[in-house]
Amino acid sequence: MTENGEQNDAPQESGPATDRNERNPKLIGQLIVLAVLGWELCKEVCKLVGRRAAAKVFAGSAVVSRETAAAYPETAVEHPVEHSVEHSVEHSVEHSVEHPVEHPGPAEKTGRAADRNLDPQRDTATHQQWGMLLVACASAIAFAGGAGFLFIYWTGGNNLLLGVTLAVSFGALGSALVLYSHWLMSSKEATEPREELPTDTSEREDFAENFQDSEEEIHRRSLLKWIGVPAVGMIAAMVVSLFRSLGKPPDPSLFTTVWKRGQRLMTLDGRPVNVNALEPGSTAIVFPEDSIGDEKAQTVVIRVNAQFLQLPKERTNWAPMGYVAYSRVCTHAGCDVGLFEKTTNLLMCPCHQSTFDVLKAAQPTSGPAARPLPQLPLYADADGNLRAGGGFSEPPGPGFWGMP
Amino acid sequence: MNHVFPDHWSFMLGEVALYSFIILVITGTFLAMFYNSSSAQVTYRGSYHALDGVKMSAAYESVMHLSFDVPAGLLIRQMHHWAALIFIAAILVHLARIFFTAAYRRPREINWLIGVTLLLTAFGNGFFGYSIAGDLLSGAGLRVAYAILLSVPVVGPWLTFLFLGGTVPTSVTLPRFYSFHIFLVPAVISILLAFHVGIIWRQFHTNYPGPRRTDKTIVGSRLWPSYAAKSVGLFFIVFALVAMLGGLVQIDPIWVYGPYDPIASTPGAQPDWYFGWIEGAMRLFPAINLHLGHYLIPEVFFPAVLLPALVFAALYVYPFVEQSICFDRKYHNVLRLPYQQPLNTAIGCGFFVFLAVLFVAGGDDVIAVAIGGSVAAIRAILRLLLFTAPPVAAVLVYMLCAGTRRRHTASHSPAPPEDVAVQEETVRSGNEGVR
Repeated sequence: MTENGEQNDAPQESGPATDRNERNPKLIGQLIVLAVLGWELCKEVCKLVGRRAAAKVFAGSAVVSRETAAAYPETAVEHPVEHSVEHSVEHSVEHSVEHPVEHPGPAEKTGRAADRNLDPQRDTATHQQWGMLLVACASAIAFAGGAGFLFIYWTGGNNLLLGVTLAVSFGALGSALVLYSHWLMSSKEATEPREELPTDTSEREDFAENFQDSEEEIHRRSLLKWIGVPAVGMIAAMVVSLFRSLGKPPDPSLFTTVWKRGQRLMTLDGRPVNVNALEPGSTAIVFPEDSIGDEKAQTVVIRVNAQFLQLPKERTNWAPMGYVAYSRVCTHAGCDVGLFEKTTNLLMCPCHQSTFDVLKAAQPTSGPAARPLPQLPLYADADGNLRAGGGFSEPPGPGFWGMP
Repeated sequence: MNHVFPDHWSFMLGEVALYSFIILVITGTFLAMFYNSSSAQVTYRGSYHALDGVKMSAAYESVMHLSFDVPAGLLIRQMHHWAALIFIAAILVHLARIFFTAAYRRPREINWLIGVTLLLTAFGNGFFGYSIAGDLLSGAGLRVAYAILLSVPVVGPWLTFLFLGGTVPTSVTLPRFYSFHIFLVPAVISILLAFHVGIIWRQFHTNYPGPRRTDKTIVGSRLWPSYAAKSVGLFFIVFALVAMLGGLVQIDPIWVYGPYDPIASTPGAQPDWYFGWIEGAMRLFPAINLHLGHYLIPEVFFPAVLLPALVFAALYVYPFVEQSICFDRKYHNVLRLPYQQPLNTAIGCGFFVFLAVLFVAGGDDVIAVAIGGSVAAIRAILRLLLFTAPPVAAVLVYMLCAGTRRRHTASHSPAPPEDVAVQEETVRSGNEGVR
């Protein structure tokens, strides 16, 4: 059953493959439409929102980029600032210039990235135009992404493209906000005094005083005690009792050794295991005949060469014709001990790589498991079918407080 | 109201965690409308042909339906899982930032406690979340979780009965987990987050050392409009990152694992990455269990219950231990840089290396297959590393930090602002009386 994944592989190949052939042209079509749509939208929005800013920026007056301006403040200050001051006066309404050009005084350089906030160019109109262009572009991309998302959703809803368009849209929207903040809002470093937090002493004294004053107004204090203590106890009992609704206490079922004497060993498809069924070195997964498929009852039966078996004395008759059976639930953390290595006669748990020696009553040989797998006594009936000679040697499953 | 918030990239980490949580709530609400926690057996008839006709739980079927037959369902599901990973990663990196800059000092030790509790709840809800899909991998995880819970002395069996509803993952396990996952734990996280942010608001943010930054002032940009715009922008960018991952990078493909089958486990199974260190500890811990008369402490108790308990206990008490060892009861609002506190930084790095070795051990079978070595040999090496690498790393880091600190004090740069702050504090606390 471990091969679950493998079983699924074959049909998995054929299923989506045919699908993909049908969907491919559609996908490409969607992508092309999306790209064209995005480009057109981008252009339109740029034209609408950023035309003036773009024109201004590329007109020549502000060829000096922000970096150059920062690097050569004396050259940059001459032209663009004059120009853009007029501009900002002209169009102050559209641009909503909240921060007119200031003379911030001597800059305090700290060698940190935040120094750009001290740049005298920061709040000039040119700077704002650049900011506007950037924000407009980002918004355009956000709109394009959003439109793409809607388009994809309503024409098939490919998850991959939905994710990408959503990411483009929201990423651009987020960038627009960040760019807005960086370029078009004053981010002058502000300094604020911290409110004095009340110190330990003052606050505590106040509190205690207040408490005491109010407390003195309580009359018949012992009554409170007589009501309060039983009430708390009662409420606790009520709440704890409700836990009982969650199910039965687990303890009896933890100690069960699952099998009963005389039960036949059944495979998952409901067939008994005959003594001739297995070759030496092969295994089968079996269950008690009345609880096939039960997780805790799952047992692995292995046929080994009887002469190599080294079972303890009291278990020598537990293995007819070299058939040994062990619980398949790992004693370490409860995974299925699903792997059997024929050459070393080791059972191995795939979860934490504990190994158990099949020849030596499943004693752990390596890995983190400390207790052996419980063994199931076996005998063969008159028909040659294997039957349980009793329950497991110990309760199966991981250890717990109170485990014998 | 228009408080000043300092600008630094490392102060965004907590915000990233907060925004991932919001994304989790948004995407999770969508998922909850389709999820069915029933373990009743049904036969699959959906549009994923490979599993056509396979018997599975109704829970698994509902997730399959969500993934393949609900428009954008798979995207939202993958976004939810990615957001959960980013949530926990952001909390961890945020915690590291707090630790390595000593932001947990008074008066922020309460917020440190809330933060560590948030990390715990995030771990828990991550586990509940990926367990309820009903696939084979999460089923194996549930069984290991059952063994871990069962191993707790005295109360273990009762805990399993309370959380899992019985001795093995049963039909009541998923409804119970679902209830924890979408109601109980998110409610706790929301309340803790409210307190976490409220306390920051009340106490103001810390500042890195720098000009004009003292214990009595805060330097940064105003909340409105600049900081608010950047922060909302960050929300959309985190959302975009999650959407990009959800769309492009497959996560938890339950159709590849198949439905849960009680008699199957697969090799190479690992939990989600944030449990890797516990998984590694379970693999490295020797096969020792403790018999106490008629009672037993099983081997998984030590690496999977005791170790995490100790790790979280260490996180919880660290600020208070430092306070009492250094007799430092003053309020600190200016951070220390890692090199200014070599011992802290060394302890933190040693701790990190310890967890990293355990994390690597969690994939020792995968490594063994990849490099062709034996699992036993790799375990031996990792056990050795577990006890040697952290002290070595700590000593190296200490030397590095102490050297840097010496160079800084020796150079002609102005005195570190830390000292200024300390002097001011001394003056203030002198008036109040040092307690």
